[in-house]
Amino acid sequence: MDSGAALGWGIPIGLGLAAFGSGIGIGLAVKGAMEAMGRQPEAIGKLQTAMLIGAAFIEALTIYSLVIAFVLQGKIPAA
Amino acid sequence: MLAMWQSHAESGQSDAHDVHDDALHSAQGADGSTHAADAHAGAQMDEHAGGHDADHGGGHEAEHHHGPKVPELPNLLGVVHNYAYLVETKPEYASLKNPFTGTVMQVDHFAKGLGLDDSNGDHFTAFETIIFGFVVVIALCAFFIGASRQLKVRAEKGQKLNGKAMFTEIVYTFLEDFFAGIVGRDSVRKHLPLIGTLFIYILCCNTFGLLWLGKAPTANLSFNLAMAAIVFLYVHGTAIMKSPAGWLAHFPGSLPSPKEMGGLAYVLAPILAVLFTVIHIMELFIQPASLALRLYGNVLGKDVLLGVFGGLIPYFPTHAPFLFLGLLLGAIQALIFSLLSSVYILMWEPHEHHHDDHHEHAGAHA
Repeated sequence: MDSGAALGWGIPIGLGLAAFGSGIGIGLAVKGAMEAMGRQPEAIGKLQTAMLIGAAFIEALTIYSLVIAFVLQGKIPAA
Repeated sequence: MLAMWQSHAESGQSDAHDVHDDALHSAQGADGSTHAADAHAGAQMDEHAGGHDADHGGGHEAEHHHGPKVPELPNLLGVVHNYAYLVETKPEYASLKNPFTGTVMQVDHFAKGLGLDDSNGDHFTAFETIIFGFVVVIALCAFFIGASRQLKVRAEKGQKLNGKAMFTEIVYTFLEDFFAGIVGRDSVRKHLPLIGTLFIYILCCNTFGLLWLGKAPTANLSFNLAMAAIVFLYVHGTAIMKSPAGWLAHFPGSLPSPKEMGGLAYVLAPILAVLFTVIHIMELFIQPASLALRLYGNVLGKDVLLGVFGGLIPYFPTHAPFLFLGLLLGAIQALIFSLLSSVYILMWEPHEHHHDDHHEHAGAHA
């Protein structure tokens, strides 16, 4: 397998793996926030803010791999 | 990212070499041609140079213009530029010549020479970003200057209240309440001019990309890095101005004291101090970089999604359902950029030892 074909397979699979991981992460974060909101509806504002911050940090990891995908995209030879 | 910039710097250089080689080559061709005595030497050289460079331009077009590397929806400046480029690649239209070599100059090389080439390899996108960025600035200025005129609480007979001002007040109240929950009610008015402006500006930039023939300026890494640099300077500027010692004390963090741990603290504290200082210095630069990258990746990802779906069927808006997704994403990313900026402000401002505060907790995540 030449490097171009390896990139062509690797970029989408790697991006999918990154999305898989951060999907689980954000799911757990939102689950926790939702449970806390259900338990303490008066704290919804603060919980939402903290959840958004956490989700932003988790999501950033996928975005890094997306950026890397864009960077490497030009190196995939046209089929 | 560094690698990306470097590769671009290299490609720019190699292109510059190409131009140089072309010029040399055509000059040699003119010198070496046997019937140079018959024709006017200068005209001959011009013709050679023009023909050669037109070829070169054609090759370039194949490289750059046969579909951009990253699919995106057309925008006004891109359409105009592509038309201008088409005209320019035809030698009979080319009138702009380099006075030194007699070769035709390409817009491409101008842009690269000025460092305006950006990561997409599509040479004009940097101009588009800058121009559309300023369009949003001018639109916002026009709106908010209008909103600050004729402020009245009660209308006289036959007068109307300033609707823009009322709308602005609603927006301002929302922003103040929201950020008061993070930086605290007492300091929100100090920081809101920057954070609130960032929120409104990024929101408008993101939404601008959804308009027909518009393009989101935030889909460009340099643009976002500039905003992140402003946040970086503001965060550390305010922290240092408040208390330079407090800012420095942030680097080693809170170390174990002999009171809590006994003699072990004398061994542990220096090691931990060095370790935390290294980590915090890295954090210093990772924070603005991740701020910029997050916005860039999200908005570019959205633009590519719209570009792919918009290109499925010609002249039919297959991407319409995703416009709503884009609206939501733009709002959330604007909120997250300003939210994280305020969290960084809070994180880096000197500690006053109120650990029961929830603000400290929010900062600990970052």
